[in-house]
Amino acid sequence: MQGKTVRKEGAPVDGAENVLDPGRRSHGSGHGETPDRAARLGYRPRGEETAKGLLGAGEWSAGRYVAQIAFLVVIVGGATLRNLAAEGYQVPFFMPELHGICPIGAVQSLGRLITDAGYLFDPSRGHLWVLAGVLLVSLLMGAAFCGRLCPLGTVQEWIGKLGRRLLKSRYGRRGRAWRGRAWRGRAWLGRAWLGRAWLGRAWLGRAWLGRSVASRYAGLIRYGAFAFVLAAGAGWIAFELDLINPSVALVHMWTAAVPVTGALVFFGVLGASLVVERPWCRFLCPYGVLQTNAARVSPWTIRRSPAACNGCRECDRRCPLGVAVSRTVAVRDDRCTRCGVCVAACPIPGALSYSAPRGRAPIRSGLVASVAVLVLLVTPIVLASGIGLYGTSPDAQVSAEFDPETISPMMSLEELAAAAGVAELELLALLGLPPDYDTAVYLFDIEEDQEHEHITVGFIRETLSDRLSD
Amino acid sequence: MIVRHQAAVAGAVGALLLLLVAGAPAAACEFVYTLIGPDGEERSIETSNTTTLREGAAYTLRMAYREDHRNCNIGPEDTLYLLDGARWRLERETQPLVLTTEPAWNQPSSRSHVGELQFTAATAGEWSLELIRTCHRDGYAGTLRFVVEEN
Repeated sequence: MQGKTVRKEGAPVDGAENVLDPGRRSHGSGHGETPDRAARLGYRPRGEETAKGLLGAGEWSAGRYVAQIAFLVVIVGGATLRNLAAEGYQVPFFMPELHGICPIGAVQSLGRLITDAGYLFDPSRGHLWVLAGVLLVSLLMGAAFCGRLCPLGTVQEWIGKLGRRLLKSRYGRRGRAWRGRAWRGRAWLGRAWLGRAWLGRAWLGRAWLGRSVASRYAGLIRYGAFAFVLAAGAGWIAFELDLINPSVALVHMWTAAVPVTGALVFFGVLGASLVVERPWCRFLCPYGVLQTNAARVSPWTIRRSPAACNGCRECDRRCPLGVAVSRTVAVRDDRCTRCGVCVAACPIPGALSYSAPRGRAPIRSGLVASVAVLVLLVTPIVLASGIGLYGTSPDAQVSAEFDPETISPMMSLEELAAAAGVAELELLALLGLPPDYDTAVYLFDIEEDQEHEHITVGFIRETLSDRLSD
Repeated sequence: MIVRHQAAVAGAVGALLLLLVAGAPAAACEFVYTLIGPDGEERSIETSNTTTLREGAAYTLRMAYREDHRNCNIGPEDTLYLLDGARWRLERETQPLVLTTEPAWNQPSSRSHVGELQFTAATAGEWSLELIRTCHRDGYAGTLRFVVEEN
């Protein structure tokens, strides 16, 4: 019903729908039409679009690729450096193993939060703020994290490109791989099982078992995955999630041991990516459940102007995930990752935009979109840091306001003196240790000496607490 | 013009990425605790709650953790146990919770570790048990709180 109405709105003014072949692929500026006809239909050559400030597919894609590659390099490269680093060596600035980015780890952390609310207020559990950043991105810009940063999504996308080259028209674009030509063309299920009465419309074969089930309802599996991971994170189900986590395999398997099953899931996802676009994201990703549901209210989304649209459906054909952009005014489809391919492909200036309601504040470049996603991603982290809910390192926590109750037994006496702001000699006297005592000794080792058996970490905490309260 | 624009924004993307990864903390190895009572009953215990024990009863504490997205080079045997701030030592009867068996660890799957120790709730009162794993990649610190009730 909606489709009919919108199609009417989007029909070309001069009746162009009659002369357009919706199934025809358009290439370059000609769109399969003669220049005169193209102009009459409202098409403009790509060069003209760029000159007018519209951005071609190249720039939209480049903006996304830059972010995708950079993020993948940081995540996998950082993990690799870590895995290969010698014991005790800390890789500075590379903390890539962020649960907040992992499609399973993030939901697992959320599950943990259900049974342990204190988890949120523990400064060393910062990945929850990364998760908050991802959700903020989704709330404002849709599932753009998936399309621009997620390393697993990036790898699937690249394998998908290879699949397109290898399989060409057989590649599962718009869900064809799932519903399959056999089902669509011959509606064999309708014929064989339900007889010719059903064949007239073959609605069962085409609509129910075809696009709907494959591309849409199969996505509901993600909700099952989400519930499972959430329950495992909360501790209601005892299951080692790494066993099925393709993200861990992607990040670590090159330089460290990972569960064989996890690696199999990862390669299974890659194999499926050869025939279907982003199979993990569409059918399995538990994190996607959070993001796509948050995206339902995102002000920035792909918006179509029915007044400008000529109904050519180039956007539908170009969408790698098979979203019917031309049948909606604002895309809210769970599959949309806001990649912007449809916007870049649209031949009519202003017909499609990645914008807020009424076309306001349009994002005109893939790079700007990527930067916006990154800014939103780090915003909760910055805010949490500001109020002390996001720790950066154990050292940073020590150097913050000194609290004797948080004295770690793994501190040395000299580290403790520096953290507490007292002279080493004063600290030794305070604890009843001789002035020549080795201040490099760890606090928990002091009690090893029978003579100082009473100087436990608890004793040190109490003593310093008393001293600071004086 | 477009190339310059791209270079500028690419630089900004890089800077933001650096900010993100530089400020990100390590995800520590989270412990999950289960307490097995003298009657064999298992109950999950949390660091945020206080667990009640019976004086004189023997308990088994099961600890499980996973090396979160990392390959920790500090073995589970290096976990430090502090009972009320002092090292929890085997068979030391002056401590309110007497450790009767050393923690025994096994590795059921890659990067997963499960350990068990046994203790007796010897003295009534409120006691804290700290479990600490310190490494350059953050490690773990958790405190279990026990209340030992008199019989």
